[in-house]
Amino acid sequence: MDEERGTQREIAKTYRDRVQSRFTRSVWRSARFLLTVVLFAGGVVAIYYCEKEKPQEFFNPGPLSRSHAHLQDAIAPRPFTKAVVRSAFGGKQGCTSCHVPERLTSSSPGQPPVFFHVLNERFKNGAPSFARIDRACEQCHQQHDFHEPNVITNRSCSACHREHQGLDGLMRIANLDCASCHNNSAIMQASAERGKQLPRDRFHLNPRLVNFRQIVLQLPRPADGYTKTFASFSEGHPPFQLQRENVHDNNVLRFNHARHLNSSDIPPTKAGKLDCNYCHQLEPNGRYMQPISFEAHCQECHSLQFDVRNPDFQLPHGDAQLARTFLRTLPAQYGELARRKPDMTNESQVNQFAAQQVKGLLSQFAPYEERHRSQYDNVEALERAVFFTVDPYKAAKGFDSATRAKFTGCAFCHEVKQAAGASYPSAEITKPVMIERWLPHASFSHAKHALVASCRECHVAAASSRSTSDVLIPPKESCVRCHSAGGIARKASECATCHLYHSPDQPGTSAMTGSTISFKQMLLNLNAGVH
Amino acid sequence: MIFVVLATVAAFWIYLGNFQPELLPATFRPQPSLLQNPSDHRSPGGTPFGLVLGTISLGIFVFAALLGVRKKLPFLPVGNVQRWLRGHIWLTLLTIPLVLLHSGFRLGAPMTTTLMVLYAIVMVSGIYGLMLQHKLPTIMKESLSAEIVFEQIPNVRAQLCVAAEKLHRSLKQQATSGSAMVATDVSQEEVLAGFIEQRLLPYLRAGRGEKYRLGHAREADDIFRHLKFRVDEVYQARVDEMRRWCDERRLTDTQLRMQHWLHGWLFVHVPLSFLLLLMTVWHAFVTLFRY
Repeated sequence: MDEERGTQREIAKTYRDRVQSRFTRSVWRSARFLLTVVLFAGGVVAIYYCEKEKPQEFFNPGPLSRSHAHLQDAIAPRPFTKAVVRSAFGGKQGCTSCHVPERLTSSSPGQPPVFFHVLNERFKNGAPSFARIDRACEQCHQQHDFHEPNVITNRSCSACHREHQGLDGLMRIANLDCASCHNNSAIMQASAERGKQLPRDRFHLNPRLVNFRQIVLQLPRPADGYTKTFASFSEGHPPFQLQRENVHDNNVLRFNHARHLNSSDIPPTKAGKLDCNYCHQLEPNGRYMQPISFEAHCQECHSLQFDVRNPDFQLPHGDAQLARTFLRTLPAQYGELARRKPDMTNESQVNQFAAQQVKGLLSQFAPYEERHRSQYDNVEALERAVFFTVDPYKAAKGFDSATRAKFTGCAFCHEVKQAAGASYPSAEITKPVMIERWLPHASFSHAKHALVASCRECHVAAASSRSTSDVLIPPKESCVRCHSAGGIARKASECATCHLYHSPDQPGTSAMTGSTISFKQMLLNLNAGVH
Repeated sequence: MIFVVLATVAAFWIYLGNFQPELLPATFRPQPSLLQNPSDHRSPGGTPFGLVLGTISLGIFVFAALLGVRKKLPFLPVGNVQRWLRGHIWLTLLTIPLVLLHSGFRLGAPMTTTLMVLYAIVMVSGIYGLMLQHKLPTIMKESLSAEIVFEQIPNVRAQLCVAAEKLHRSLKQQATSGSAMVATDVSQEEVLAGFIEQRLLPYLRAGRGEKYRLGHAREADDIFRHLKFRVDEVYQARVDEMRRWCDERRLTDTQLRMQHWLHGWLFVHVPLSFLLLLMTVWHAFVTLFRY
């Protein structure tokens, strides 16, 4: 505008006598008021509708977990489901299966009205504890001890298992849940003190077993229990106990990983070159390894063929008593072998064959070749060679490595002892116990890890290990490479990735739960008798 | 503003002390009296501190809604409207940190998500309106030679129409009754009457003046310059008068457009504010007494 703007007084003079009442209402203002009223009324209607028709959709912060999806289904108009859920939850259904609303009426005389009581309570203590919801959980879920007995405060189910977080949300436990205690030195100190007052058998010594035959290493609890404070696996989590305490494998079976993995003179197996997977094979669920057995994993190379002239004639394995009986009845065994041959027609031929075979067998054992004793003396010598001698064919004349029998003697692998008090050669073989789970407090899946790393990348020490006593479990640092904030498995670095919070509750392990010795110790003490 | 900043800092300090103490250096952690009992609940909104934040926010919402009432009742001795407006602006800005801390930076269920969306719209529209109200009056002062009370604009426009119609009638009468005097004079009156009938009145009666040529200052100048060429000295004053009416009409158009900008945001802000207040009260009731 080129024109100069006048003063307010001049402008007012211009419009003097041209104004209407000051209460004139503009269309815009009326429209705004009308819109406000309509929206407010719409809000009231929406609230009424949500309260009556769709409370769960509007208040529900997220879909229920897979396990509790039936509660949501109960809201849908399916009479059968509704009836089932109603009966399971004492007549309740939908949200009220777990959430019990506050009563706002019916205060007794002299008591403050419930409305104000609730208000006062909320501002004083916050939202109500999950106790009521926990009770609803326990209507279906078996009540059990939570965690260890020295825990200071048992947390609510809902504190860790957060519902309304989607189908799998219930089982996603955040580090924060564990760290709320395990990263709090005061709580951990109090927990350690309480633990000292409790008998050791109160603690849950056994892990949740994958199968009940699994042999698990169980180390004694540290003096203060597991009460070191830390925030995450990568930051502050102590080294694994078996490495911290320099634990050795007490297995008595002699095995040299380096020889088996690195030697070039080991002939290929039927499955190809000998490697980790030849012996260590996954269980069907992919978590742990199947037990090692002689028949499945050793016998192809370490044959029990002890008579080079009769390749099908093999020593029994797994029971020293059976092997001893087999050797002491060799003439009869050869006799049985002869009877299966078509050209052996009469008994004298059978006896002659058996005598020749026994004599020939004894001739293969160099230390006994020169001896001419009775049949029974020779059999005792044979027993000594079979049980106590490492590679008894080594010095035999007329047999080189290609033509001699493949049997290398029990003592080549096993710990063989002379039975106490016996005047004749009586071998005791200590039963080997091969640990199948070394970290019993953690769960693990080999199958998942095999997708991203080879065996040797984690079990680095295996290639150079020459002694059975070496524990070849990777150290914590090896896990941290991936399971940390900067690693490829950063999303799987939660406490619950490996650990369980709840005490084991399988009926099958209950007998071991109260035990103060490990399963391995139990086996060694009870089963290490004469075989 | 200092109060808002201090309150925000204090709220964040207590929040971190209660819910994420590891983020605070040991020396800056709140004293135990400001710390609440540990709870298994994750949502800060349900804790005593969260409830205090929520209650303060609700109180501010109520206070903000009362601004309209205060404007309607100017005689009440509860502070002038300017102070109320200042309080309305700063206290509602304070609700941003309070609501965020109360919610724990989460949206939650559909009900709380709806609340947060409503709150965001109300706050964004309010801040947008605040900026407009800060900038537009200056622009209006610079671009409008005179300012009319917004509510009087239709009245002023109607008066312009009445004046134009009155002039039109008088010119028509002159054209018929005084035709015996001078033929050329009659012709000029008819010209003016025709101009008023065909150009001026449609423009003055129109809802949106910018659709007409007279609604644009430059074109209007040309039109009136040509009109002056067609009439004698006697009618020059009339033409100038019509030109002033058009200027005044354009002024009201410009002012109306600016007023729409200035107050249009209230169409979003006010209705949704009341809806927000209603939903917040419902949210408070449900969360306090249902869970």
